Amino acid sequence: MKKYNDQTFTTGWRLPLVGAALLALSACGGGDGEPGNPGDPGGEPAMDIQSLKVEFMDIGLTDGVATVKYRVTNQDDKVVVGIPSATFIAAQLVPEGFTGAGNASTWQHFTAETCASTCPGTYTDLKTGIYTYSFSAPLDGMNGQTLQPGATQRLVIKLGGDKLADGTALPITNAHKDWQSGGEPAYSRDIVAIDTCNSCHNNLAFHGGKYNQVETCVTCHNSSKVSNPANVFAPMVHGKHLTGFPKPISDCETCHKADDKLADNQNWHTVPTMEACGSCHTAINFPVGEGHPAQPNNANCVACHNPDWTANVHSGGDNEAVLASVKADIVSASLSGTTVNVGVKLSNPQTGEVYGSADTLAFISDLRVYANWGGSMDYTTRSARSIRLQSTAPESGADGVYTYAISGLTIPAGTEADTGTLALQGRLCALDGKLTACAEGIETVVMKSSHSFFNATALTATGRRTVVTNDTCGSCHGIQQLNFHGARNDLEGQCQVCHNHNMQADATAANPAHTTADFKQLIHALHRGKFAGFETLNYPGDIGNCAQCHAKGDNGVLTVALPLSSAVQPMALNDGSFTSPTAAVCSSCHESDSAKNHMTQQGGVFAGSKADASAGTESCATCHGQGGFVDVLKVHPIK
Amino acid sequence: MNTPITVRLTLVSLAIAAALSPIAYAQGGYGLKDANRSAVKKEAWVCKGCTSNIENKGVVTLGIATQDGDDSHIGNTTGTDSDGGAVSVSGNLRQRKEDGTRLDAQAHKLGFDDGSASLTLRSPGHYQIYLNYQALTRFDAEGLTPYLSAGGQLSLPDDWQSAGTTAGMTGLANSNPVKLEKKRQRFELGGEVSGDGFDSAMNFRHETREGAQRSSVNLLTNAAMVAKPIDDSTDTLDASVSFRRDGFLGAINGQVSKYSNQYQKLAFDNAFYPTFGAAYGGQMAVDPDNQAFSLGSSLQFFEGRQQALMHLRFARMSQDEALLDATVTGPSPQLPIAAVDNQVDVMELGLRYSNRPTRELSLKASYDFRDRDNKTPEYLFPQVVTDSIYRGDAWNKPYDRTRQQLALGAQYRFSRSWDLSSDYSYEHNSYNLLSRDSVFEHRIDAALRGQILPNWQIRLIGEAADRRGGNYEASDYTERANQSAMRQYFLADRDKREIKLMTDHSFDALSLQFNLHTGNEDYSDNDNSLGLSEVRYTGFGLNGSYPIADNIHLNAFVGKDWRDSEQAGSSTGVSRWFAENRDENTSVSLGIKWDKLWDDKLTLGSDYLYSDGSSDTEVSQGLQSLYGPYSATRHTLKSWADYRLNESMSLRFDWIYEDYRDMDWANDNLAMDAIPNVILLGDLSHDYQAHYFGFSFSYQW
Repeated sequence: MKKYNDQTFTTGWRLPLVGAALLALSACGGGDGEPGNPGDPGGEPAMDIQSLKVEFMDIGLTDGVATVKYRVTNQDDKVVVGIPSATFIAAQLVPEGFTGAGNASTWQHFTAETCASTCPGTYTDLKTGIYTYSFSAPLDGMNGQTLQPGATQRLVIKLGGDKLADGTALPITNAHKDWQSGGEPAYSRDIVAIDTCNSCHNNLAFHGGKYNQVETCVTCHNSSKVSNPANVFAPMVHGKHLTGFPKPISDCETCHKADDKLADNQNWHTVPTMEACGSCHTAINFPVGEGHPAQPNNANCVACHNPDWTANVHSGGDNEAVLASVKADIVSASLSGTTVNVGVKLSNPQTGEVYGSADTLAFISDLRVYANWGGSMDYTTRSARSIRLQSTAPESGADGVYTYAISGLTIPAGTEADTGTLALQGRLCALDGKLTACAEGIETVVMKSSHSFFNATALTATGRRTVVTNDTCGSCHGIQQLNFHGARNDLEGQCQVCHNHNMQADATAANPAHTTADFKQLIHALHRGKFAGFETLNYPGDIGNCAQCHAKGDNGVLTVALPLSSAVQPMALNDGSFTSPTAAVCSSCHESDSAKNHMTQQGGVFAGSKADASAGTESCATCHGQGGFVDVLKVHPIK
Repeated sequence: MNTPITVRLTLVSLAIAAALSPIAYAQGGYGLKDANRSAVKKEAWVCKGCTSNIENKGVVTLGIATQDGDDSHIGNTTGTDSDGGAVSVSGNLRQRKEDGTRLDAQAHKLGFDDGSASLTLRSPGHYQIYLNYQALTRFDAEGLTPYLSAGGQLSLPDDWQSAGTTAGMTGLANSNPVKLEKKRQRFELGGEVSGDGFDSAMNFRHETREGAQRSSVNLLTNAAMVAKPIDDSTDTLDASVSFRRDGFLGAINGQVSKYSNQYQKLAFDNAFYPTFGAAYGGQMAVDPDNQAFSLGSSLQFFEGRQQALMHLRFARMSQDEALLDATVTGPSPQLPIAAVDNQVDVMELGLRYSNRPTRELSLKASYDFRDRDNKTPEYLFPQVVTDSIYRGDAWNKPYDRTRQQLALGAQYRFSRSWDLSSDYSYEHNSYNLLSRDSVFEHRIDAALRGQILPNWQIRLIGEAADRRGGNYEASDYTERANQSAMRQYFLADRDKREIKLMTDHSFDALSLQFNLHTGNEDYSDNDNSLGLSEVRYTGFGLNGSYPIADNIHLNAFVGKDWRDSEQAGSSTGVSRWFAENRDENTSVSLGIKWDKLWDDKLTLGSDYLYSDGSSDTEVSQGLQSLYGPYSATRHTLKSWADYRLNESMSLRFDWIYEDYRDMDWANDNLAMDAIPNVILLGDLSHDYQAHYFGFSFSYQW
């Protein structure tokens, strides 16, 4: 049973007393037997609070003072009574053009008032899950801002971070309501959703974790509140992403996603301003005329930078059109000794046109197929064999399918029943969104790489295990938009064809796991800024959230679950020694001596013989395995 | 005001018709055309009231005038913008010979900017030859510009220093005043020959325009308002011939016209730093030389009470001036052709039929067809965003339109003083290249005319029209589809309602006319449409005249109109802004004429005119914002005195006072450099009080 805190914070305490006295008089003198006004419905109080929901019941101005009435419930719609503290932020949005021709709509901060042990305004807990708050003074004039009749107003309520009287912790919750004194708000500035931010950042929150919604941030990060223009929301967010952004920063739609729920989601290209654009195009001084013809204000931006143009230069729109006109498929594969014969078909999926062989097509700048063998053992060699189709005449061809031979695969005896992988990559020559003959000065468009599995006789549906997917990588990098070695972007299945356990770690390094280009080691170290050349990488999310990158396996379990797949091989060091598979992976992050000792004590082998490292002595799964009491799936903050 | 005359003529005609041919009256139509004129002995007719035909009269007036004030805008009222003195000659000569041949020569204020003259030689019923001249000048304002204009080139001074924004242009301080005024002159030569059953006419006009008008030139984001020079002419030749026979009238007419512009382009120096590359100058196309001809014919048949008319016309406009290069700076994208054979053909057909089955009822029906066919060939043209910036190619798409209208009408006469008429029409428009490919409208109106009292006539007219059309479709020829909610007012669904009341009273000497009209046009076919949504208008006029005494006449007019229009727009396609325009105009006039003073030698007159127009625009998107004043107010007092010295000489004195002020919040009090990226012509508003004094001497014989 919970105890309820009946504390009322108020600075104007005399008024409630007078009110109470009047009520008392009325109660004594009335006696007409009429029932009192029914209270607001309460409902059953919450016993368990995982999340808070705020339902705004009434917002308005009373003598210029903003007042709000709201109801708080938990995840099960049970009312939450006795919330001891809250922060209330009031801000106003003036529309596009209001502060000057061409200017974007702008938030203006009035005040942020926090009620805890003291309270600037009047905070009342009606004990029914319903609360009211009256700000300390009329909004008009607060923070030097003028309340504009008809302007869209925003009220933010921040709850949580504290506990109910019975010790139940309240999760931090930001809720907001846009309102207008004369009816529904006539305009808005809803541009980016926090979910978009959180696709890369996990549960983004600032200022001690108190503020975790974009709608909250903008009420203070505007020119009426922050003195440094670089801390106004748009320039601040743009500026902070200028370095280390995991995909081309010029693609605005990484964050400015089209979203029907956000009325103003197209602002990024419909309302260009020197503040927003200049925060990425930092070499421009607009008023002075450096790097751009002099522009003293935003009045003329759209004269040149019309929405279509802006969208066009900030997206891969043309490239998408080019890519949609060429499809490269591996349609057959079979082994002949150590040679794999690969059938490739090039076509236009939009028109159904079947192209000729790559060596006859002027618009093919590059088209390659790589091959490696050993899908059950993470490949037999680091040196995958390849062939360049644009400069190779096919062995044979019919019906648009041309066959090429890739020889020299490493196929150890006894592995003939295993599978191999074929990875395909390429570049197309294009101009203004159309395929064109390659020539000096003609730009190329990188194709989406792909991979296929095969066995001795045919293509197969399965092959080397899938640990990460292009979608999971794409949550930050954009799906297949991150290119390595020029044109390789199939992070799911292509990289591993070469970046496998046949790569060697530096035995002399403090943590050799940070030095091998074996994909599983490389990718962990790189995202922690530990791999050479990636020291400045600042991982934007919670590095312990394995699910940010890892996919679920065929068994429906996240691929980080122990025990590891038997395909995972020990890590090779360049002194000829090996580290057992689980120890090698875990020690990439858990690199303290005590962690290493723990691994060693539980059968892990560091820099031992290949036989020892492969002997299967690791007993990690006993405790850390799926269902174990320290299951890796539970001890990591996986979401 | 002509009503009494018309009525009188009609009565006379009826009387003649009735007297001459009772049979025709009973069996044929009732018009003069149906009269049986075969029995009339015209040769026996004698004009007993006529005296000698010979006439030689004339009056010549010499005038001098002076006006103060330095705002040439007063010239729109006085006909001359000269600050100081101006001299004019007016005259009217008439000669008639014994054989009826007449020579008329007229001149009106020759010497002023607005002057005219004509010379006519006619033999009534046989021929007429005339020569006319007319000058008309429209005074706009005087602006300031750093540009010097010569031969279609706007040049900056040699020492001009470019800058990124207007604030840095020190050369603006040395700008030159430039007059924005347009002077039109028309020379006309024509003749008519009439014979038994035929008329023919020919008319040639040569009209020139000179001066300068407000315009602007721009290079990417930078622009300059300029005085665009005008020097062009239009030559038009009209000819027509018509034949009359019993029950038939036929006519053919033709027109040839040619427009010639002295300028082939407007080239200009860039006053700003080039935005990109070496864009130190630019050019704009001007109205190209073009020519047009039309050939039409009409046939009219009469049969009893029936009348049928057919009208046909074909017109063609063509233009093949050389195209300007796509850019003037750097390599210019290749044009697909040096000059396009632009050609637009228009074909018109009109059919009309009217009948009067009974004396009370008359019926009419008509069909009109008009097809505009743009036959300009299509090419893939380079698109240039601004000089030296080439952004892809686009086809020129010729726009066609076909309009058809069917109308039916009936009028029923209850009595001589009351009748009711009603018309229905259906109009269908087909377009290509627009967001709707067809629009159709049903329209119905009704008019009741009657005489409540002998001196009190009223007319009540109501109209309702509903316009609808096909689906809205995105154009294939734009880079992106239009916002689906966007409505162009001329294509949008529209419900129009209008009602008018007109009354005409005459109480003894006092005559009063009053009219009132109000209407509403509703364009919003759904709650989310963007564009013009509603127009409401109301207005009235009251006109009266009254002779206070037999030599003092008063007349007065007051009129007022209100027009409110509402529109909705959106920059996001989601949230909408709304704008309301409230237009209001008022005009008042008061005149007095006092004659027969001083032994019938002096006449005095005075007219006061007041007009005021204003437009308030209020835009709201949550917040309300009212734009600044946009108005023009004029008070004009014209007074004159005419004193007859003797039978052949008279003196006249004119005094005109005008107080004029206009306001435009977007332009008032703006210096040339008020906008960083636009060079302005300065403040072009007017605020003046000016006097005009004219003195003239007339001699007549």
